[in-house]
Amino acid sequence: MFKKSILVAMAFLLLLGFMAPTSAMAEARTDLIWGGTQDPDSLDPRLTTSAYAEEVLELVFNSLIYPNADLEMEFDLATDLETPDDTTYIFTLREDVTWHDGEPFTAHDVVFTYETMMDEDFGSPHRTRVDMDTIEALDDYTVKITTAEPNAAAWTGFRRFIVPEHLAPADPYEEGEGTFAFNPVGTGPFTLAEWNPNDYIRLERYDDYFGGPAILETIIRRDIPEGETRLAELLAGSIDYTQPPEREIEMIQDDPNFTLQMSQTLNYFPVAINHAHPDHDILNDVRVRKALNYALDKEAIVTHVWPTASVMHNPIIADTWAYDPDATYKYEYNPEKAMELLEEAGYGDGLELTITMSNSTENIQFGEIARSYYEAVGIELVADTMEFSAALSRILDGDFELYHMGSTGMYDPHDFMNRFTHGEGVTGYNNPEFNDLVDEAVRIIDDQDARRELYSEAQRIMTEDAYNVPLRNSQMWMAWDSDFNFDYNYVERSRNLIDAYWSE
Amino acid sequence: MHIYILKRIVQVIPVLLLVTLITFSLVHLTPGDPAIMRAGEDATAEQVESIREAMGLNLPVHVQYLNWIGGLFRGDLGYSLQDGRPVFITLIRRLPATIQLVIASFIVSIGIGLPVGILSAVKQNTMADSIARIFALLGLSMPNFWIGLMLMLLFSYRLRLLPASGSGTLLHLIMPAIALGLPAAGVITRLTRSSMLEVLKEDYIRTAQSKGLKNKTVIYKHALKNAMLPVVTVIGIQLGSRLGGSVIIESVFAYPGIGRFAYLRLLARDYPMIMGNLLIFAFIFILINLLTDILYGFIEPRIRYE
Repeated sequence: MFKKSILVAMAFLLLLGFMAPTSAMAEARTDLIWGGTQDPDSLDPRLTTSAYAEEVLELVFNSLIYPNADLEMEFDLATDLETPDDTTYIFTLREDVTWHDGEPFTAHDVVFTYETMMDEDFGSPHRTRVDMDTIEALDDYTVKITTAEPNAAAWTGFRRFIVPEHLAPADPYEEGEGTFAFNPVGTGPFTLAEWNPNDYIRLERYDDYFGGPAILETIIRRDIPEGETRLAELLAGSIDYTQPPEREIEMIQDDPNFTLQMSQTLNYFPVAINHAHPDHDILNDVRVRKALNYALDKEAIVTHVWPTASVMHNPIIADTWAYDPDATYKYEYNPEKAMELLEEAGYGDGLELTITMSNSTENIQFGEIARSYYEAVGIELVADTMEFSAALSRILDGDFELYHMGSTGMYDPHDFMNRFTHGEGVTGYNNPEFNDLVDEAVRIIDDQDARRELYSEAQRIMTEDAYNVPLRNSQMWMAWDSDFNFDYNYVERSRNLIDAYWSE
Repeated sequence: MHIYILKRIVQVIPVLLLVTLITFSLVHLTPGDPAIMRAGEDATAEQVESIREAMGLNLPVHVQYLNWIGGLFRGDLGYSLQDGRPVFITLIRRLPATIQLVIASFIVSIGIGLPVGILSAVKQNTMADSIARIFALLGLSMPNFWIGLMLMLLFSYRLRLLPASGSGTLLHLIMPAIALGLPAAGVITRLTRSSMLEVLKEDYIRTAQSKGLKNKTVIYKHALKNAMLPVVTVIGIQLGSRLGGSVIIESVFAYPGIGRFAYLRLLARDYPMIMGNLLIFAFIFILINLLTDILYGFIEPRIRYE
């Protein structure tokens, strides 16, 4: 009996030995195993705004134009852009582009993509994020787009991925029509070979790619939700490229076997204030809003809870062209001042405020810390944390006093500023002077300096107004095997995998 | 017996319908919906509404439910609101991985729990018993995700023997199965021990011993068989709940089973997927309960079904 079990154990160990991976490679590898954080929700680019979907879509699809790391426009499927007047954009398209099934790419695909996206019944999250009045194909390789009003930020709408008219559905909810969303066909450097949801996505090189074939032949993106697991897999060499957990960044940085790259994002995480709360007008009092700003030691909080993030004092992301440090009034940590302001506003006896946010570990920690800071000045902060979807629903319904959640994808300053005009944004902020500046700036098509001046003034107004409590700008970081030659930045992301290669 | 089984199977239908009604209501009552998730951060109310309309979520809830039930009777569980995948095929494809994991974890639980429990009972109040009891307590107290991470640290990172995540080979199954099975091994150890101790005090055991049967025969043939009844019940209950409990372990080991998938689709409020998944889980749960009841009849012939 005993002997038998030893035998079984030995057989098992032997089996382990046989199945262990062997690593004997002479030539440079042409595959990449990538540990993804989350599975894409959909691979029909018209139906998703998820960053996890976009980092895959960037390899499968192309757009007319795209922003580079300096947020300047680069041509992708287009070769030229003419703007005969302030509301007309005429794109000339490449004529050497084919879809992964061999069909030629034409202007009609561009028109189809935007027409479905702008169709209300289609339900695309991009619809209200793209400003477009008409779109038509002048011929097979020329597209004319018009906007209703001059819009300096319209270009960000032209970076949407183009889908093939002959394959993509015009109604994604028609039964059986959904296949394109998990079996997409694009024009990009890689084709989608296999997608087993929440397991892996396998991409194969598209040899007829118009920009010349990529160096990598296969990319396997595995879905590994746990940061610690991704780290273990990276260290063990089972994956080549991933985002390790934030607290282990230093360890990777010190390890010569890995390259770690940090990159500033375009994401802004404030403590947002509801300016249009139906029940009370406490938050309409600028003194209360200023007190909310003075009461927090933002540096200490951000360093502690989000070590890689940087503090923001200004709504425009630092180091982008419209950012004006001089227009920024920094609400330095000053609890006495906060108490004074509250006293003045008539809340010397204290007041209670609720903050709505998702229940991530960091948010819960932030809630506890913010609570103690606010307690010191007489504000009782109730942290109402819930699942992300519930929090988002609450916030979109305007059912909150304060909230903490991110705003993403601000390629043009207008993308951000417009969220605070005319009381139409979720926070209901409405300052006529600010509205006028933002409305004027977006109409200036070809003079960045003139726009910059208007945004400076707008930044000054909203900061003085303490429109919310600006908190942090997040960083993104990726790590990979140091034999893998790659250049990562937050804006171009997976696009740079086209040129990535392994050293021998 | 046959009539009993038939009766039980017929009972399954109303139970399943009731389960779908309750969950459909619950799922639609929870805040957040797939339109909000699709619209994303900084969406406007108008934007959410137009997506909601496109998804057909603006219809009254009872109409949506009747539509869903109508589809169910036609054998159509619908399509995902998130990625358009057909619900039934997608879920069924993921089921084998989880079933493999659950079975492997039961091999761990029973393979450890049963012998240790028997040993502990037979050698009551000895050193072996104490060690077994400490082991049981440890197994019960350690959270399974922690066991998972510790195993990963040791076998993947330090020893580089086992893959830390994924699926496909037997090797991928070892760590998740241990992490998932170890806590239940503790339960089974304790239950087997106490149940065995009780049975060992019975008169028929003394009779068996006094008529000169070998100790082994007494323990395995007479005592164990009678002590198994509560153990089988618990295993039956655990089998069902472990399908759901595999969520955490599947996440830690990025194991592509149905548990984590269900959880993610729940967070995304993918209604058709949630309902389809629930139906499958409820069905399995009921089936396991039925099998456990039938198994009773074999273990304990005194239990009769009319």
